[in-house]
Amino acid sequence: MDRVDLAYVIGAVLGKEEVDGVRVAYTTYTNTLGKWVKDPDGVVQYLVNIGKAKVVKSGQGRSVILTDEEMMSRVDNLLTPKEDVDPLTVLIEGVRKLANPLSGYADIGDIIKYIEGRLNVSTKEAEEFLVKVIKFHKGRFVFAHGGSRRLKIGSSYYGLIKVVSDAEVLSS
Amino acid sequence: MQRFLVPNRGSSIRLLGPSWRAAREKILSMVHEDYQLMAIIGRAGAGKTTLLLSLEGINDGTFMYTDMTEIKDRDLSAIMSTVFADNIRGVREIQERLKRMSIKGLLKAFAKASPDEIVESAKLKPLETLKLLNDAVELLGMAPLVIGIDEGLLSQDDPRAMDFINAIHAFRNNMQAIPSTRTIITLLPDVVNLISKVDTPLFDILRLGAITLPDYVTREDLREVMQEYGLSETELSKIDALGPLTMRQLICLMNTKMDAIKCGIDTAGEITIE
Repeated sequence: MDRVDLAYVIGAVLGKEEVDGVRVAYTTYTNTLGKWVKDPDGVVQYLVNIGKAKVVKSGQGRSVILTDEEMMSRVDNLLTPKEDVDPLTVLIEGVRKLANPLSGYADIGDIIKYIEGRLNVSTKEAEEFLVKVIKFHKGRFVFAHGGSRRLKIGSSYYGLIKVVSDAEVLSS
Repeated sequence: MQRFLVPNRGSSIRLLGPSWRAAREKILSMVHEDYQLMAIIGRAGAGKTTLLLSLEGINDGTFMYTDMTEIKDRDLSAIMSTVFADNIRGVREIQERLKRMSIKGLLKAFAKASPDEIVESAKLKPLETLKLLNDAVELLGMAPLVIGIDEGLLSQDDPRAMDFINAIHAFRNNMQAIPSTRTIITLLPDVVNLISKVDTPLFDILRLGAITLPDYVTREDLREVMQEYGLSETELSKIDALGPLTMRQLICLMNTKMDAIKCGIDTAGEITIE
């Protein structure tokens, strides 16, 4: 985390969301920022120089407004605790949701995208998540060829996945 | 050993496992309930071909099986000419019976045609030739005409998959012209996915008459197979440890004294995304 990230984290914790950005009283902000950086006023000035903040008059004093929405949203996500999820449940839900109604199989490429959205993680993290769940619960899934992404299990390649309990009973 | 793992064509098939017999019963009931386009869906080794071949010798009706594996094309002409070529003996019997009846017009010409002419006609005018066969079995009291098309492991990546889908779509569109004909196709799950994406009208019809084979053997199937091969209960836990198995993998284990590697069962823990 660099000084800009830190400045935004503190802003997210202390500030109040307004139309222009997140507003926080100047003194409160620099006092808190000063716990981690030697020159908090210099950091504020730096934020202003790079267009990520502005300093405005506010009554008798001043306020800092952190203006970079994208960065604030990233910091917000960072500060929001992740929902406790059971990995197996997430995967089973995803497969059932995305399965072809006739075959019961879901495309592994679609499942990776589902995990990305469901857990708000990157593609790589979603892939790692999928591999881990399958490794630990191999008996809960069956695989078939096809699909838009390939999963290599031992020496075989598969692209479709189905939940085992859905495969038990003959369906028609 | 390998021959034990492929269906024995030309002789009667004995289906092992209650799940597979239930699938056969379901298909037969759909045939009798006037379903005209049916699909047997299952992953490789699930027993699609075996199930289709087990319909040989059905009590009422005429069954014609065709294997598309060695056929280059998958369009309607290729499929229908292969159906006639693979079942030419049955077609000849139908022609002989027709000749003994006082028939006129196109059916008379159909009855007189040589095997080569029949196959050529199926190639040039697939649906018209099928309609003649449909009308013949109807007239002779040999209906329904059940045509089993084993698509030969056509995958979604195969450029011929679209030809196959278009051919099945043609069956769909002409069902009313061939009311005594029942078409049963085998499909891999990925081809089902492809159909759902590229041909919704066909998918909607197929889903009414589809059977999804069990993707792996259940406990009951496993017990029956083990009993058939004379294996003891102690072997059961060894098989359980291998995870969900297709019927082909199970039969392979029985024939190789439980050699998981030879049977292509992935016991390695290595899983990666490519």
